[in-house]
Amino acid sequence: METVLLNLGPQHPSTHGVLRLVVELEGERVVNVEPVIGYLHRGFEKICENRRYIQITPLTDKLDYVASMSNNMAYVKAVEELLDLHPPQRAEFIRVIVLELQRIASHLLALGSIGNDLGMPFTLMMYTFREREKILDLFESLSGARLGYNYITIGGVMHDLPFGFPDHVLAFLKELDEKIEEYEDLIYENEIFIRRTEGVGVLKPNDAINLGATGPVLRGSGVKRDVRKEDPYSVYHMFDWKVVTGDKGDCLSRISVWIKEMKMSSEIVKQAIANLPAGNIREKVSRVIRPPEGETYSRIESPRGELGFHIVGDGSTNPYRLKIRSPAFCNLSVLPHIAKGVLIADLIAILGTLDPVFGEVDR
Amino acid sequence: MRKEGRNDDNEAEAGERKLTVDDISPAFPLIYEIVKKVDGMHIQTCNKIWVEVKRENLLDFCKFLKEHGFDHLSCVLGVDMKEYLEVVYHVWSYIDRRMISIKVKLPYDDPVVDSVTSIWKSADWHERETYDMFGIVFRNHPNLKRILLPDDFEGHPLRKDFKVEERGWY
Repeated sequence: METVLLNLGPQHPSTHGVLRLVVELEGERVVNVEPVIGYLHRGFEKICENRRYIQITPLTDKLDYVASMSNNMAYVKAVEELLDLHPPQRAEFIRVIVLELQRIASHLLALGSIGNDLGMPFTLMMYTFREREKILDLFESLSGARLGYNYITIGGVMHDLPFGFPDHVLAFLKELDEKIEEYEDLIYENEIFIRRTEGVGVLKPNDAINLGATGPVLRGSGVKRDVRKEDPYSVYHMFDWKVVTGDKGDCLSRISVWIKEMKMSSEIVKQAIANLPAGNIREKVSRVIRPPEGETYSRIESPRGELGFHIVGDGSTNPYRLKIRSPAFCNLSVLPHIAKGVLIADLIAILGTLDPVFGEVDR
Repeated sequence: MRKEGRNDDNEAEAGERKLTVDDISPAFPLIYEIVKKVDGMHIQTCNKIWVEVKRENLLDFCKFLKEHGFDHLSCVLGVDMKEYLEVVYHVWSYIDRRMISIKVKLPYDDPVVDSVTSIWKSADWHERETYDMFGIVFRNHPNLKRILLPDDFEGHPLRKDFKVEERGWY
């Protein structure tokens, strides 16, 4: 049968941003798919070489723009490793609180948009955005911004928690726990949703590891790996929580990982708030940060997976080289391997569950 | 809530003196074999080891690591050190929970190195990006072409000698 070459994107609502997919089709079956990326490339790594260390934090907000806190944290952690700086305990707890809230917000967005991809627009998205909005409101009270926070900073966090913040968070989490049950009903009880996602785009555990998938994509395949447990950073080792996994490696497993992770994040935030210590929120650092010569590679678990920063310092005020290992980039590279032989409508579902954010893929 | 206290005693120790092979060998016996295969070694913390490998030996060394459980290639990146180019591979073992960062030095006039896509498939896009940004050629890569920049872009922007065209002030 003759194959047809189809260009999907770069401007198409189902590609989650400026992704172009060159799809080779045989009827409605996908024979081959090649992602073409780079439409949002801003030369981030080159820009960073001409910025001071402290000036880079607000830039990292624009990497994964739906989870800015995680980017701030990943960058700041790498610089702190270079400086051998240990932020105060209260700052670390606040960081964990905002990081986990950010994870919930990011997964809510992913969950909402997967509904759009599967042809059930607005229902799921309306509900998940209702909760996401509340997290954004909380972050606004915290940092003054709704998307690019620049909140986590070298040596600690920018501001202390505003008055009543922990109570607001706890009230929100109580509400969220009820709402998550609602989402579960909307997803697991919906036959159309199940039939569109179950058994579609199966990624086997060994392939997932070899292809470099991380985050919910890896855990959806049943591999119990999480940087927060594997290579603990901040104060994650002090909380009781488990790494959640899916079982089948298909789209539905990856979606179930999002839902389970939201519950787990909510648990972590509750524990962090219950044990929030008093004290300083920021270690004293000099105005001009000048790390010693050396290099480091540090990773955190962002909502999308393993987010790493490799920084080479040459003893000056600017980094000599800064490399971002973005999880969305690596997860997207899995797509050609698992999208062979699926229907074109399923291709969109698979792409939705890989959850790429193009600020981060293209950098 | 668990008891306080970080479990990275080794990190505190490292501040006082440099870690040596003997310090980490009880937890990681493989280190003795690794020492024989590499040119240089720097032990940052107990589970972060930097090694330097000649480019002829890279593929053999990577195969050796893969056989011993280092199954996750976290990242591949290039660095322009002005006198030479450098490729760094961060390899993580999910079993051992240890990271080995392999450095390979390449001369400026002949930046060619073997591709590791046959060992870790995840290297595919990383190597394409490194080629894109530094012009480092990965031998036997299945599809080595630009990834982030347009195909007709001239030069390799992350090299230090790349001139950034500045916009004038209007």
